[in-house]
Amino acid sequence: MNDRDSEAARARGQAMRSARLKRASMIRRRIVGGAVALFVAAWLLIAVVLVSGHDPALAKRSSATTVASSSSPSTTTTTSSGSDTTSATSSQSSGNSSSGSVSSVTTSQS
Amino acid sequence: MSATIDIPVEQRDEFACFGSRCTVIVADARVTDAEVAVAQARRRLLEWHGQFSRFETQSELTRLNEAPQEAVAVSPMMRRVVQAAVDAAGATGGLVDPTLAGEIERAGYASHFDGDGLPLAVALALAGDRAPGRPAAGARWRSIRTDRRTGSVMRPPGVRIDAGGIAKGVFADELAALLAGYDAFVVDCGGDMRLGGRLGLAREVHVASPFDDSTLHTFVLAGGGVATSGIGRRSWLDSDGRPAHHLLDPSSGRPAFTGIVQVTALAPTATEAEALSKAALLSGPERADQVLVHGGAIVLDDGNFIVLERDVAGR
Repeated sequence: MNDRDSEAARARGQAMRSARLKRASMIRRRIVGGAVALFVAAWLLIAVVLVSGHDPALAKRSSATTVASSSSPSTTTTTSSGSDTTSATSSQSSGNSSSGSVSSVTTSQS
Repeated sequence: MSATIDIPVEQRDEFACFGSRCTVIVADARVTDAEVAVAQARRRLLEWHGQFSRFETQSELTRLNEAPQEAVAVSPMMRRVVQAAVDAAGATGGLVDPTLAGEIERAGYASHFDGDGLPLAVALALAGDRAPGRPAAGARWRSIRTDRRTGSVMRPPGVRIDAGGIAKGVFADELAALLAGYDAFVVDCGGDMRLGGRLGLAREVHVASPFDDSTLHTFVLAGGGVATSGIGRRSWLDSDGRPAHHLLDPSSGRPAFTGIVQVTALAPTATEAEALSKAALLSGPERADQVLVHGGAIVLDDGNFIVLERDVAGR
């Protein structure tokens, strides 16, 4: 084997080693990248579920399909005193109409 | 164009808890889910009652207060409640002070309060001069720290914590977060209430008179917190024959007679509403309306009352 042949053989060997290292590096990067992406996605999902206040223990098994919007009540600042002179008002405007009504509640000191 | 909402049937449970009455209401098209949610909420409230009672020798709060070391590992909810109590003290300049456990016991409130107590009119007649409450000079609450990372509460041993109504506000807010996905809900932890729900339905909230339980005023709210603090329900005569109740002036450690017998506060959360209602009552008639930044109702000694309606985001 002359010098030119051995030079070419070394170059081929070098190219094969380089290609093998490149492939190994690429596979390693893919595995690490995939694992990191999976880990981040799992934690994001958990964080979103918890932050949105949907504890699985109390979560609904399916969501209702009714879509509604509401507006906050327009408020007036009214001050009144005297046990029989209550005149404070609060009005509620909404694009929805209700077929029933929710129950009222009473707040009193504990 | 208006859409029609079919308001589902409400599931409701009222039960004894925190030495008072708790109510949970959940409305949803899926009745079974709503029933389960109400039952779970009740179970949690009763668990928290056992965990946070200062009258139970084995409660987590009692163990925390009796721990001889400065840093005590606590449950996440205990850390949250203690931090909320410290925040409330800071936000009210120390008027809502969570370190008055010893003072309230010395005033005569060392065990579960049973019975009707002293009639409010009698307590007012026997009380001395009216004066607004003031923060305690020592401000022991400033020595309390919490650490989320280690899950612990730090305070000088001997500084005992009585989060009182703040804890109930935190519980109402905690359950509100869990129930937010239902059509409508109410959580009332013995005077600390949180309303809300997916549909944003307006609900009437009646303010009861401390004198005869008649309705003084009705707020219409779709969400947010409502808290009522007063001196009418748990009043007694102390060992010296003086009228006493559970709302203390931090500066004296004695029950406060400020000229106000009851305050209902509105706020975005029940925890904030609780802090505002107590701070307003302790501030006295001249400053109470400035404290109620989100609105509310103030009932004076003579039965007259003041209603403040202000805008609250989300209500």
